[in-house]
Amino acid sequence: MMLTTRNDKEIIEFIKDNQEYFFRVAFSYVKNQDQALDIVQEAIVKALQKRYTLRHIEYLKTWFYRILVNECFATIKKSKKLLFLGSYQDFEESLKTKDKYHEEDELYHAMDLLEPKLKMIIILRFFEDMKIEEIAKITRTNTNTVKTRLYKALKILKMNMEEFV
Amino acid sequence: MSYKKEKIAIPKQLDEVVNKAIYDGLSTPLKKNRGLKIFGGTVLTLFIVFVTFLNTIPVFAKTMYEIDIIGDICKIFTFREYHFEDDYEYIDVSIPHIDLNGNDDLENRVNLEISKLIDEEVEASKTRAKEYYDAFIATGGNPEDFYPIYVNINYEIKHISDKFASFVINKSETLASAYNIGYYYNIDLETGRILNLQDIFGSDYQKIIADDIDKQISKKNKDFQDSLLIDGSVIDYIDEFQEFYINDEGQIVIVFPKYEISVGALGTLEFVIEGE
Repeated sequence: MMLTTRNDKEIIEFIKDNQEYFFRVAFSYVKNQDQALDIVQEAIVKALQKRYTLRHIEYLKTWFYRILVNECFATIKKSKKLLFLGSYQDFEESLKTKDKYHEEDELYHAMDLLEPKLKMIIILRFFEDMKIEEIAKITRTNTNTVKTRLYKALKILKMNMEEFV
Repeated sequence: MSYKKEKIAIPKQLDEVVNKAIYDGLSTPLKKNRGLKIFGGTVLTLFIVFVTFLNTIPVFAKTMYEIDIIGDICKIFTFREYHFEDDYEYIDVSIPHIDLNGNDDLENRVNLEISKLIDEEVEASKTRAKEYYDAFIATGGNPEDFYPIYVNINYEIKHISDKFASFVINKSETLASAYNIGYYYNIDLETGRILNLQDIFGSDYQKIIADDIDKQISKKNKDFQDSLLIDGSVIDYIDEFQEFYINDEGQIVIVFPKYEISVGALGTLEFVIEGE
């Protein structure tokens, strides 16, 4: 029997409205369609099962993205070696045929060399246009940490991209 | 940074996956034991739905009665649930309330004991979490890399009839390795007392239970037998404090926590005692 309260309705509406964003975040992170779909699915199920932990509906977005981000991290952890190897081969491949790629694709591949936390910050900040404060809340860190990580990530990206530009 | 997110193609399945996830998320009860969860605003709705269903569909009516969580003599429901989190820990608790119609004395005693037990367990975990956190920092760990300890306390109803109520308070704590502990409660609703094994099997209970379990063990495979730490018979392990519960069919199930009679790999062991 499904009983939904007003909060539940709002959560469901939010999920339906933003499902494509969720997919993009997950996909940017794992670079694999099936894994990304799994992540989105798991995040939604977990969020709904734990919806009583959402005390204020205003925090819905932060709360949901936190679950999604954690799900991404968990997936990476599970398949760390496999994924790293896969993305590294992709990366090498992209070096060989680099004239086929635009700068954007280079960025996309260079990102795979970032450690998980840095990569997530880049995704949230530039792909999802989130504010630093928002990212800090989602990743449970303070704004200074987010800024530091962001600069660090950008520096690494710049270095990596200069290598083959 | 001109990355265009539109470049990531949205797979056709996404819609279906999301819809299914929403359905799964809403229809799986939060925990196994939370089949019936009633909150203020929904009581009336639930009641109306109940009445309508019960009156119109006989099959549904039957299964609802068989769940028996709302028994005539004993009701067990979620009294309070809360969530607590900080840098060290992430705690989910749901506290049951036992309503024994008419037996206020026992009711108060059981509920008081449960709430005391849960408070103590939460406190113990908090202390442990803080100790781990301090040790982590003291050894040069970065506070941001600390994984909070996850503590979950909930309950599971094993059996409710007009005669007995049996339930367990489960606690799991996830640190480096997970650890689980169960506190079992068995109430004889007719006499209004906490049941013990002697009440059920008589003064010879140790031998009766041990013989039954020994026989079950002898039928198991060699791997299983080799993993046991007992010396021939479990009889020395059965005493008045032995944990047990009553299952759906009204059978007695003896529970040995992890490590008690076997290597940790076997986890918690349960034996259904046939006969009674």
